[in-house]
Amino acid sequence: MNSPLPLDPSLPESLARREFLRMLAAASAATLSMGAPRLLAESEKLVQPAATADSCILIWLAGGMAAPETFDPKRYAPYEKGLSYERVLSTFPAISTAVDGVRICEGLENIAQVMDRGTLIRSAVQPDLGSILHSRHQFHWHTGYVPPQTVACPHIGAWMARVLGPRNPVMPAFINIGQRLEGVGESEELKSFTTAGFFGGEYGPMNLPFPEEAAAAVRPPKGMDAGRFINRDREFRRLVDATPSRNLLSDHQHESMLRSMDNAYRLLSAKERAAFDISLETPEVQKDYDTGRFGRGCLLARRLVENGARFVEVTTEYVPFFQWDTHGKGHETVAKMHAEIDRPIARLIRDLEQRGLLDRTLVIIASEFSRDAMIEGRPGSKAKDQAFNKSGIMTSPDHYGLHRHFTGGTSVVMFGGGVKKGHVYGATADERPLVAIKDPVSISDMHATIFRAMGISPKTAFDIEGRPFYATVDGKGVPIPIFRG
Amino acid sequence: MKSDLLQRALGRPNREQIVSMRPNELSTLEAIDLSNGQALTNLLSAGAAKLKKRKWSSPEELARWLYVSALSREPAPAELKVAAGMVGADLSEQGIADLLWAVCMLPEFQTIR
Repeated sequence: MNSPLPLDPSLPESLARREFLRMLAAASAATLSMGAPRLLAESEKLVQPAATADSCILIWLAGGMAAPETFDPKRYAPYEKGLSYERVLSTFPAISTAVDGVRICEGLENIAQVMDRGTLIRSAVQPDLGSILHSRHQFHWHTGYVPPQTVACPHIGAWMARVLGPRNPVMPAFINIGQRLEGVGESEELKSFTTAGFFGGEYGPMNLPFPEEAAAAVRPPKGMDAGRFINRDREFRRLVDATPSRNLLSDHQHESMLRSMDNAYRLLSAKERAAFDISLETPEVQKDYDTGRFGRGCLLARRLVENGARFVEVTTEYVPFFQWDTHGKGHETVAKMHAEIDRPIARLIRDLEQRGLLDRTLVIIASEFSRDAMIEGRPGSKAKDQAFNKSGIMTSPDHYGLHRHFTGGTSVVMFGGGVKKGHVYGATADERPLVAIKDPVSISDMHATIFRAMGISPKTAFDIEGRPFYATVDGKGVPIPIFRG
Repeated sequence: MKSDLLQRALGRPNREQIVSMRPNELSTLEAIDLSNGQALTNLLSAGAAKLKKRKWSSPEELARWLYVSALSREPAPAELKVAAGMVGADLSEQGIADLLWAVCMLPEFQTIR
């Protein structure tokens, strides 16, 4: 067999193409990763704010969590046949919380008891009532940018992964729990923001749609015991070292591939992989969290943060017309959602606190927009139109609920991570339209607040396609004053 | 070509996400899939079972055949020693599967050939 290697060191005048390219690549790789977007020069001089949180858990109540049914109760009217929609603002009565004067909706009794650990923002607003679509608003909420965009926008978790890196080097920096990305409606839209975008795959999400199966994602392959797995990796390294063409490969590509294989092996053989196994918790703890897939996801999130995860999203999962996406039987469905989220969220907050982690973990409860009983956003319509649009009466309990999308005033709760305790920020009107009437918070400002807690300036920018791309649009997000001290 | 986990681990982009080129580099999450993903594990096991059925005079012969097939070259003596050692004198299916995996993970196989 002929030698497949064209390089002959005895022929100095014919510097082989590969060798030439290798040296060329090594030169540029010395200053930057090839093709990777760079932190903008002016960003390098940016003084990043001091972080008040090391980890972030985003509890994503996908589908449009109605604020008047959860954290912003308004005038309640029980169902009766012939009830006018105009009389109903909330279908759940208000209950008191651990914070004097702050009331939330019946069904959230456990969360009510931990409201003194965080700040309730009641004045989040989303743009463009005229064209309210879940996927557009979910994209906007997760990336900070309104779709469509000309570059692939990174998810906020990818920003944290890119700017801050992993907290524990063996733990993936961005973990996404509970959302299936295949076989569900609008999966293409979900995937468009569940990504590191132009940052590249290294900063993308580790997707764990089923919390109870997370352990398998970090286990050696089925049927391979630990001894064989360790041995296979060791022999692989020996083969790499024995490769005679090693010096012909681009250093950068070669090293980056081996680095990724190393990282993978490190996690798959590290003690931290036990964090992915919720069955290691006591039956009592498992039972307390287990209200369903979401509850188990909260338990998994807690274990991951305990072991050094940077950003974890846990969702009740977006499936069109299911869960929080109530277009009928709203009251009945939201009562079930209350039962699904109330215990695990409260337990998560208490568990983090008990472990001394809450002060440095920002836990956010959010959704893409709120809901109302009156009108749907249509092109050309405005939030205030709901005060004038007449609608009918309810003739069946199925009609009882908030079945319309609403972007004028939405609640977001933040616990831990340096935010004020037992605090309420902003307010919505008490009569329709239920718009934010005090301290409205845009998505940019919301993200600036989250980034501020994590120690990332909203002006942080990366150079992509010859222009700066900022952590918040044009770098203009401003954190809201909800921090302690 | 179906976009399954293995395809994605090999860098196939989601059609829903804007890309002007496929990434050059293997990400950690892709490396995890290549290390423990069921699809690749099954493929390698099936391949190992097939190879096991062939007549080999020695583990070295199998290792040479694999290097020529996968990398279009003979293994160097040091490589041959490691590769034959992985297969073992009994040419076990496990050993063959592990060698198949290791050769497929070589940067030389991934980025040059």
